[in-house]
Amino acid sequence: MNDESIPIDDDRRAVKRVLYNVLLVLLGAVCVMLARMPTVYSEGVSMLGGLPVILVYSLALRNQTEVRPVSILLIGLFQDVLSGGTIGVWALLYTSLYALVLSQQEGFLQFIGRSALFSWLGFILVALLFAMFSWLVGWIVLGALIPIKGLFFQACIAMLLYPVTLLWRIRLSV
Amino acid sequence: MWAPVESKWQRAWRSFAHRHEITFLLVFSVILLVLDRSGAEFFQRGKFWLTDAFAPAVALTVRAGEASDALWFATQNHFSLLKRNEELSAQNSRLLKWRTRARDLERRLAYYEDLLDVVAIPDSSYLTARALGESGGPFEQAVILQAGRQDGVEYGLGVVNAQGLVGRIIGVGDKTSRVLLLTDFNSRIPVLMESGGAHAIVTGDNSNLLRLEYLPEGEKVAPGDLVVTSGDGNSLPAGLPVGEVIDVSDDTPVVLPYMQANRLEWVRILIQAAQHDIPEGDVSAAADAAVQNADATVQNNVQQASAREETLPQ
Repeated sequence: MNDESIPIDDDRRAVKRVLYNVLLVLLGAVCVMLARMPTVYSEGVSMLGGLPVILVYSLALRNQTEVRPVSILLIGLFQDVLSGGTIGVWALLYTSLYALVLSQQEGFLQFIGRSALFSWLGFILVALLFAMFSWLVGWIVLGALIPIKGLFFQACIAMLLYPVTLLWRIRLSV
Repeated sequence: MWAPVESKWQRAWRSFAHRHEITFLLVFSVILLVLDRSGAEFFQRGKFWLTDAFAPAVALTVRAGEASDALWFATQNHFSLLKRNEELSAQNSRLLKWRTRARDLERRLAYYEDLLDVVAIPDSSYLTARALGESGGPFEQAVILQAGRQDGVEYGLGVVNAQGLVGRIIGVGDKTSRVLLLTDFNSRIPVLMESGGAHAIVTGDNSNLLRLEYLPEGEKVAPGDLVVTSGDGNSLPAGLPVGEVIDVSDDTPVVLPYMQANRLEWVRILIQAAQHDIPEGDVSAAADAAVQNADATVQNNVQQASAREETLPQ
């Protein structure tokens, strides 16, 4: 047997991983489309605009052999295309959010693993950091200060929506 | 059965790429961002190709949203149908009176125009298009429309809804186009105060409100004053309703745009609105053109102010 050869099981696993990530991108696309669906609107921010943030946060806490970062980038690019805005902004924001949570994954999992409440608190922290980072990126990209109120409004809505995903996970685990 | 053997270098590269994947992706995002902001033509073409490709899927979602809205609206109104019917009947009789008045004025205007041999301004023709979802969000106030070059949409055309001016087309694909809303940072629209006739520029700041800038010195503006397009620079037809002044406590009065009253579901693109002299390009080109219009308006205001000073008693 050649030591440098790769068993076919690895190939199967790779194909499964690709399919899994295609599904993730499709799920992300649905979240982005829901975020852009006409809903109650305030300060230029969609009510469901935080859905992709919830998804990216949840994916960053998953097993890394499954989720590929390029899937996160594609979700961001999809949002960029649909928003009619500058291409790369949402891709950069979501990839950065993913990188941040991933780098602190161990600590996060220890913290949020205690209870559903801690999981929620973890997301609140991330949503606030994301809003601030978005504001900073908006400042750099547009060269002007964008209204921070809208970003925090969107973060607050995402915070309120997050427990729904927790309920769903609890139901699945039961 | 075995897969092809990888060389040492291939394995080293794979390991390196795996370790730095996120860094690559972050750098890639920044490159995309820079390319888009630079307005590279090939990039803009690719962007609209993608938008065209995804438009049907998004339109489906928008329709789903509209259907749920309609259901909600129907449920809400089910219990107040009688009251609503009375309100609409009253409104209808008021509007009928206005129609009679409008027809009378139209007839009189045509008579005087004929008398004075006025060269008639051709009416705008409209193209109705569906807005694909909400505006771009916190970064850019732009909306994708489901109508493009194939439908006769061109760069720089004005977009209105039932309430008033919505914005201007700043990008055109084959099947979709992109409209920069009045509320965007880059939006600069030459306007006219309907009451005093003073020229100014309304600018967006990515909030739901607009700012009235470059007003002639000493020009009085009051809450409730109506703001309409001036037609300066020939980029938009004159007289399109833009908004209403709501706050004058600051140096730059605040204007509430009419278009925010309703969500943007269907809009009208002013196909033969005016000769637009904006060069095809990106947002910055639109901004440059708007700045040129702004300069023209400022010069106009300066001339008006000088003329006023000359007529003042010494």
